[in-house]
Amino acid sequence: MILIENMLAATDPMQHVIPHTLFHVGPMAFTNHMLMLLVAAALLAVGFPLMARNYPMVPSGVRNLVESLMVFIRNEVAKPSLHEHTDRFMPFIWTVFFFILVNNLLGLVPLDPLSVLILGRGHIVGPATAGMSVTAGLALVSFFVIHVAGIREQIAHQRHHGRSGGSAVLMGIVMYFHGLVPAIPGILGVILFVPFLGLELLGAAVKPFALCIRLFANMLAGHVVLASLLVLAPAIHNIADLGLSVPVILGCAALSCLELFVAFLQAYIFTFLTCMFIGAAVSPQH
Amino acid sequence: MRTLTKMCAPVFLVGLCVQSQALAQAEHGSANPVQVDPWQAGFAIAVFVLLLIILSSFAFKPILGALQKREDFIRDSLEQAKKDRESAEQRLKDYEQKLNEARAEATAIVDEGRRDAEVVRKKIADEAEKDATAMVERAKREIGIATETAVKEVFAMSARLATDAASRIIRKELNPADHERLVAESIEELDKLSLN
Repeated sequence: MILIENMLAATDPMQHVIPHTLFHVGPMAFTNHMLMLLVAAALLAVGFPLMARNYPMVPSGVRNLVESLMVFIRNEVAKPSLHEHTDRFMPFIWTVFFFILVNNLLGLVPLDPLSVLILGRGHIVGPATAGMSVTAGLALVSFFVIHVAGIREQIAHQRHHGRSGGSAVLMGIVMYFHGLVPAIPGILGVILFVPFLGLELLGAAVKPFALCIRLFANMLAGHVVLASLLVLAPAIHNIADLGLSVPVILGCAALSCLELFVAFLQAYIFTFLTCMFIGAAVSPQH
Repeated sequence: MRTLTKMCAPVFLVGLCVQSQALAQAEHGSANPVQVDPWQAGFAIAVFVLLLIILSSFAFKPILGALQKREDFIRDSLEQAKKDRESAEQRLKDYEQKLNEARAEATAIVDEGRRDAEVVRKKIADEAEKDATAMVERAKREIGIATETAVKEVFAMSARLATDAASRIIRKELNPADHERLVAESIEELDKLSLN
């Protein structure tokens, strides 16, 4: 009975989405979300190099499926924002998209009930992107890439105009932050520069929050809704229990389809926004 | 309004995190999904960066290279196809122009031939008409001469016969010189009559 309750999330819907400690490495806890990150990374680190080996001119089968996603991200998501810089950022953009997508999809696979059945212990696996620590980490990476790319572009611009060494770096950083503030002509521009810079810096800090919260909240909500619905499915003791169990299970199946869509959608949105922010940082004129 | 939202959002989120953490710890004493664990976040960053390095080196660069190569190939093929099409269109235009010129030339040759033939035909017809007219004239002349000769012979014979008859009547024998003189006078009179 406990096994079934574990499998159906009958005790607490939140138990399926929060990180659970598997073991400790010194003072640090190694959680099931971290394990899922490793599994997703391993799948990608093995799968993509295998796919890239002897890459044909015209791909077929799984290569074709994955390539269609890669081409979509490159041509429809990245290129409109990054323009001529697109291919420079594509390894990062593709890694962001596929890492989030695989984590989202792994969160949908019912691995936890399987671990209960096989190992007799639950919460070994879990949806990593439904944990805010993971999405915050990914958002921080995006934040770092966005601003470093913007500053590097400004440094390259300064070097192109004859500056070199530390002067180019310093001027690049100054010009990057100066470029954040919209140009206002006249004395008003001078007066409003500092408050506007403050607002823009605040905006730059909010962007990774937006990325982090959006992904985390959507994935968490989907899993919690599914788990909450499963709480309604009672263990079948007699024919009357079927009246409740069958609609609940059918509803869960329908919601899982929606979650499958949300998994792709959230990976797309995170990637799209990251591309947009990088594009705004490296080519403010666009 | 947008700026105000931007300003308030971090404050709100930090507040939400703190409140949720406090609530979760108070109610369940378990981990809070809204709580950010720096160790977990750092682990996620490390895994991501490691994955990025592996995929960039062993997967995405070769795939990106293949995609760029394919794009270049498609672009080159399209450009080549465009050039070939333009060249073919130009050739078609040239051939059509040449064909039209050849057709015009052929038409001109045929027209010239027709004109020449017409001239030759007309010339031949004219010559034939001329020859025919000349032949008719000649024939008329010959007929006239023959007629005249015949008439003269008839008159001469008639005059001779008449003279013979008259001499027989008057029983007087004409000498050959008178006879010839009478015949010539008769013929002259006949000519005068015929001219009148």
